[in-house]
Amino acid sequence: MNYLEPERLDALAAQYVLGTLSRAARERLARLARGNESVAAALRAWENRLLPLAESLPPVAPPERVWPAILDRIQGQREPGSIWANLGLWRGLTMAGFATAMALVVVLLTPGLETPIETLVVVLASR
Amino acid sequence: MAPDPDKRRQRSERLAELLARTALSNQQAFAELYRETSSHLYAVALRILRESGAAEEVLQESFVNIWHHAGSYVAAKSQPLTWMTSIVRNRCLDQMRRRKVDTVTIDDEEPGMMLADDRPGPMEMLLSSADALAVKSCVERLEAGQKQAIALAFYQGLSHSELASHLRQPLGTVKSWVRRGLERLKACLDGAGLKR
Repeated sequence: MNYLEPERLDALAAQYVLGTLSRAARERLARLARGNESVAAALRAWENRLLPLAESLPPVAPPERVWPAILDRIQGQREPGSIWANLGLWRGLTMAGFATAMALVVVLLTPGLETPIETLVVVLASR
Repeated sequence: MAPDPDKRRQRSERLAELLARTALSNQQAFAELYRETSSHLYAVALRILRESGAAEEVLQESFVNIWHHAGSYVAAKSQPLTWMTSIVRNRCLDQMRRRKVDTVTIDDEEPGMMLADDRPGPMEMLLSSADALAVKSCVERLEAGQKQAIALAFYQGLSHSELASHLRQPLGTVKSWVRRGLERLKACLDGAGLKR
């Protein structure tokens, strides 16, 4: 069975979005969609066709506890005040470390400087 | 609620803007996005999962996912609410299909529950939404069995075999209702230039 044959793909995408596919078939198609733009596009086309139907559902307000729980989860992962969560800092440190190593390599490889080869190996190995 | 294309478009533009600001880690925009869409998305989850705890959990996970992936939303490819609805629905459906394997099916738990339900039935919802979207004529052109099977699958997240037992029809019949119904819906929507 070739999933990528256009008519077959279209029928599968329709069933995926409608929700009637089995668990195994759902997982297979979702996996395919991640690496294949024509599969992703087929799913999107059916989402655009069918999902507006969901707009007619009468809205139901979720319990108040849901929003703080969401905030907790996104803030726990990205604490702005915490130094450990500061991506810029880590990037900076990585760059600085790399620059230092490169400078050392240049210094050590410059002719005229007597450098035992073991030192170079130790310096590089410590990176 | 009269269908108002202008209002709908304005709302979409507003939601797309909130998503774009959310992608830049703007928590205020994210909070507003939640206020604007959560009761719609919660209703979607509740309808499929039929259990408030599970629906709450899915809503929470979906918004965490939206916070992290708002940047991958492409306005030219889908409406913001459609994009967000697909995140919620996919989680619900994955959960339903997983649940079916290790617990009893809905049929065994509460036979006929949906028909006895006093909330608006899937049929009325399908029609009122189609009306709002000016595709009522497409839906109306579906045969009764096709319409019913598609509405139940869409709003309640029923699989083919669940549909068959709810509608008391052979599996093959239900499968072909769904397949033909979808084909006709597509031909009608695409033909009417209402691809989205």
